Amino acid sequence: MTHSYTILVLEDERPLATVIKDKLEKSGFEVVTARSVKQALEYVSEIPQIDLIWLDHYLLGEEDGLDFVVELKKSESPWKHVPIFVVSNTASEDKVHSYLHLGATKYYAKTEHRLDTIVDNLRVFLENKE
Amino acid sequence: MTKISIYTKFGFILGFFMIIAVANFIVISYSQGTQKTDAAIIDTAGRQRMFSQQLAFYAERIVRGHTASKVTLKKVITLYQDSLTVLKNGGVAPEIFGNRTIPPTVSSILPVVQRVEMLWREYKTNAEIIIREPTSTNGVENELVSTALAYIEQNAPEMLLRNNELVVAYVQMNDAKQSQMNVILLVLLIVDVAVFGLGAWLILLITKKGEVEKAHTEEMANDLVKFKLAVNYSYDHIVITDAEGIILYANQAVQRITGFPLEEMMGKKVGNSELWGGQMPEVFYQELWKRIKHEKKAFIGQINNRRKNGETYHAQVTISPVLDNSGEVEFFVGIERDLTERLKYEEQLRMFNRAVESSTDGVLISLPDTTVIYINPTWERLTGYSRNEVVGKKADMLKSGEMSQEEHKRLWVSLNAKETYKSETFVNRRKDGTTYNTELAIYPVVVRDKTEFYVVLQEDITKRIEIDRAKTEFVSIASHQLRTPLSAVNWYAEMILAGDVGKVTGMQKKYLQEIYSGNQRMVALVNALLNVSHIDLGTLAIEPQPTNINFLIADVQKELQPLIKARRVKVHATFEEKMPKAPLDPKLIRIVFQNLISNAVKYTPPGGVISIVTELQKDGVLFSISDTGYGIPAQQQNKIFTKLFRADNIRGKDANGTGLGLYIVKSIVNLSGGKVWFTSTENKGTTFYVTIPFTGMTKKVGTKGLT
Repeated sequence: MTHSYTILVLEDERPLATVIKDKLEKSGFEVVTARSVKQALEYVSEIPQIDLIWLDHYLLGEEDGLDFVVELKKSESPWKHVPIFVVSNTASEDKVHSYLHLGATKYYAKTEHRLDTIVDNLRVFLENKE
Repeated sequence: MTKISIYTKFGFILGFFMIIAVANFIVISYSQGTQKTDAAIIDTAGRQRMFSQQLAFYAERIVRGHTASKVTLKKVITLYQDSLTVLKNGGVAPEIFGNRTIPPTVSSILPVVQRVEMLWREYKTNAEIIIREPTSTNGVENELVSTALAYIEQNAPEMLLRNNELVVAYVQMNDAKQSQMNVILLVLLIVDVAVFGLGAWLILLITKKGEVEKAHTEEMANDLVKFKLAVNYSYDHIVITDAEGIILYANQAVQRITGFPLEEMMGKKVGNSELWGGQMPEVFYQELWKRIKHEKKAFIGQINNRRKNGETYHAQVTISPVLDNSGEVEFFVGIERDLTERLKYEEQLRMFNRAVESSTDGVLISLPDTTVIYINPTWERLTGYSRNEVVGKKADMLKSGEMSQEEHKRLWVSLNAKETYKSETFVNRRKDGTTYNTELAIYPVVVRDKTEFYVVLQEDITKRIEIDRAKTEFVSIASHQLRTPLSAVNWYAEMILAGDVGKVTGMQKKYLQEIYSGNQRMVALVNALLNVSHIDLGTLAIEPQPTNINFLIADVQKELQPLIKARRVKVHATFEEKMPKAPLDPKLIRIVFQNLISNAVKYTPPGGVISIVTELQKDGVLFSISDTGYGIPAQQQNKIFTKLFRADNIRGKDANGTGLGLYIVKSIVNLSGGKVWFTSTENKGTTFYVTIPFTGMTKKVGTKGLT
């Protein structure tokens, strides 16, 4: 068995976090969940290997997903190259543009996609990356 | 006046001619008066006497009568006269006056004839000898006659006029008398000419003077007519009264302004309430009268009057006394101007002034060369510059420099074409350096094809942008809040259905499917509602790009393939080959096609056919989509584009819809300047048409696009 990927899931809504984690684990991924940018950044520094970040836009605390991306994409950061999948329900067109512009890999609107579809795409992406 | 001068002229001419005629007559008569009428003939006494008497008698008659004969006879007479003289001298004593005759002898006749001849030769035209055959057989007489005749025949045959008549006569020119008469006649002629000339000159003078006078009086008369017309048709009220204020004259304007007919006011006293006066306090009229009558000065002021219909009005009034030679008041001339119109305009002007002054938009008015002539308080507040700092200076100074080159160019292209310019949102800098978001609209005020002013409106859109942002943020948060539980239900149901949390029985699966599809509908509805809210709030962003709709439609078709397959309908598309690119927001237009095509697919039963056509029209593109579906009931067709409306005939069918799709389609099509309409028959099918003009959509900076 190939080594399992570790996904960091940033989602502040508990029910959603649970179902996402569940699905990902059932699909063979290691999952770490965080509810705020602060928490996420801590995990990022603590955990040795994060293969992909599943990012929602609205999070607990002052900072949102965009702030997180900015932080992560700073030139000196070692996690600059971790791919980010933004999975959010936010309606704004420019937010999408902003994420992609800042370096997010993909954007999904939650309500437009089945969970298994996103998970499958995720896997395909990671495997192609190898 | 003119008539008299004509008669005078005529009289003068006549007088002069008469004077001349009379003078001529007198002079000629005088010269004639000295002519003698005596005659003598060379004949025997008795016949001589009779003959001379007859001759004298005839002569006199002729002198009084026929001129020609008179002339001839004059000569004849002088002939005889002279004959008497010569006869007298030649041996026969002539008698000039009276009836005495001296019988000539043969020897004395020859000198007479010779003298006649000589005188005839000298004054050829004046001499005439009538030689008449004597009737008697008197020997002496015959001898006389034949001697004379013989001599004449020999020496001056031309003297004979008629052969058979012989009366020897004689001519002696009274030289002195003749030349005297010549002189007199010459003098007379000169005098005639002089007098005539003088007369003509005098007549000319009088005529000219008369004409000048006539012209002058005519001129004066014309001037008077002019003045009268000027006064009568003056726009201002003009009244002339006598020294007591009784109206003698009123012009048309008085009737127009006061409403009283002119006939009614003649002879009445001005200023009383019977007419338009009497509206002021008594003391006003007393003061007025004192000034114009006693001080004899003009009164200038304002007065309230009342029209015949009861309406009061305000007027500017000037009353001037007209003094006669002794300095006493002869007339008053009163001029009034109805100020009602002017006051109305002033009031309107004040109103507009107030409106502009208190407008929440900044207002700037400049001349065509951008020199500022006015700014309102809002402009001062927005830009931080006060009126004094700005008025009189060129407006470009205020540009913060944040307007791009192309925008500046676009501005002047519009203004030079005398068109309105509306700017995009740009950042302007205040006097203190702080910046704010603003939009400008510049309106050229064009009079007779020339720009007279620019009116610039500036709107502080910072607040508007804040509000828009707030609205959008609200919609965004609302959409997030709505979608979160929907996502949860979606994915949990999905996982259960996929068996990820345990086996699911047939019934359970069915029920879960219902939950799942119900949730999907909710998601679609929320998406549609969010789009509608953006359209309604006006926070929709429009980003036009050159777009070929054929590609868009083909793409949408591809996207909808699963649905098309599931519904088992056929979709044909006929695209216009030469489809140009129009400036459209592809995301928005895509939604139009998505909605229309998915509707056609959804509402057509299996086996049905859907035809899509795009074609070029004169100024735009026509898209049409026909289906063989359920159609729209006739009585519900007028509601089809309203929010949340779904026709009755498809509610029961196996097709879901939010009822918002067509509202969104219509909104987007309207935004692109086009039209959408349809034709439909229930149970036969529906055809939707969309036209999109080549001019496309205008860019709009909104805060959001559609989902």
